[in-house]
Amino acid sequence: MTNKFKDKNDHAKKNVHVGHRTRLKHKLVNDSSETIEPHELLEILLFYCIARRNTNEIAHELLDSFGSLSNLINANSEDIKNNFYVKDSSAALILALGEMKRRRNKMAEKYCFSFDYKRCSNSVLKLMKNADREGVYVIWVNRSGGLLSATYLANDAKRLEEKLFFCRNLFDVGVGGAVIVDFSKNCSLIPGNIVLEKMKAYEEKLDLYSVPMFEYYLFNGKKVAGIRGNNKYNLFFVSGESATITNIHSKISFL
Amino acid sequence: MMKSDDFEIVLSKEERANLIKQINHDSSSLSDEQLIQLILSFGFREKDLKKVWKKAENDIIDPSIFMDIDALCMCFGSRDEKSAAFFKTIKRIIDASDVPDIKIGSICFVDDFGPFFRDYIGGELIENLCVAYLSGDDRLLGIRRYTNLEHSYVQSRVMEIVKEAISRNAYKVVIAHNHSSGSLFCSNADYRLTKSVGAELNAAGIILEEHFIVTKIGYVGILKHSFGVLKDKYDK
Repeated sequence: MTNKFKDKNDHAKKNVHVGHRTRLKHKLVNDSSETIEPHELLEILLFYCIARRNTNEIAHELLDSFGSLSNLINANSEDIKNNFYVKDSSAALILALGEMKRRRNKMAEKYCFSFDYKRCSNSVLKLMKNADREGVYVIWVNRSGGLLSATYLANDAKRLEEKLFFCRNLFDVGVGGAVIVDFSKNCSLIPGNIVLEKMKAYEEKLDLYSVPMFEYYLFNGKKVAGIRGNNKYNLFFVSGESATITNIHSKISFL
Repeated sequence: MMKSDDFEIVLSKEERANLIKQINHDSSSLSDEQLIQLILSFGFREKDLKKVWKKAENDIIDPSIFMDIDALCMCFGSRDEKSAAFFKTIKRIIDASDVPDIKIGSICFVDDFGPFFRDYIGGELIENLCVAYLSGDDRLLGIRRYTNLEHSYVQSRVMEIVKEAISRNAYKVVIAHNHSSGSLFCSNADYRLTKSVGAELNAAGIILEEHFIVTKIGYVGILKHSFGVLKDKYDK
């Protein structure tokens, strides 16, 4: 009788913690107002390196030792492994995050999609040079004008909306704007009505998510032409020369 | 720029074990690609990683930008809860350690916030609103940042600021927003925002200490007329 009672209690205790990791991850994914505490974040991070152990206590101990997440990810391996349950694997993930952050701060500006047309166009050329597939690409720009990613849309605006939705709502990625590149080999760089309508449609889609469209480029494999901006078109060639067309029907004049 | 074939995203068990030893010995000895491979190996099984990589096969991928967690989320993030949880965790941890110079719990004066917000959001391409919450004894309770400050969006942000101030038991609030144009000129909209936030906070018994306009090179305080411009740093 005593043994059955003991077993029943153990069984009840075990059930309380079943699904804890899933629940906590679910809470994080659905948390839009940053109510997750630092120790909970660290607890979830440790889920990925420590199996079948209560990482809540470990997270509390680590934060008590280091004071903050910032100090923890900047600490060295020996100090992190002072905690009994933190081995090489857990320390490796924590160290990797710290190293990633340090390298991000030192990252040179390889791309710049800012309001400077020339720099923007050179960055687009750099990125698009090795593109194989024809179609529409969206270059997502971060808050400082750098590159986030370049998504291939294949003329499907749903992917654009999906990216925007889950990257902003789910991850709170700081999307500063977008540059659209319409790649079609050997096409004319002078936009027709269909291209202008397409540009307008993308602009409206981005506007729904309050993402400014910095420029809409036509790319024929060798050259890019920015076609947005009140009938003033800027052509930038791979060789670095530039030209301006004042409207669709006038001749190209080289600067 | 690399395509997906050039960048091997999946690590074998031995490679992973070696990288773990290597990073524990010296974290700076890993290349950027190795660092990303190691981080992703914690969050994904080999099968899932290959699926994620395949989804992005038509996108243009440049691994040199993956040190930016936002770029990593943008490239590999998806609605799948497992991957979402992993990326969100590492992003939150990196972002939480990102607010420079001012520590939560430290005593801060209003004048400290001008240069701080200038460095934090002054150089951004789009308008951000930043809010610092202070206790009655001038201790910093927290800092919150909102991006994409469209005018239609502003009123809902005002209510969020008030709610957050109440939930943090803040007695004072300092707000700042950047002008992406680089102009420190205060428009009517800026004054209206100040008035709106001030009135709502007042109704909740909270003081709006200052509203800063910041750019890359300087800041202006609307309420107390403080002003600061960096001449030397940004002369070029």
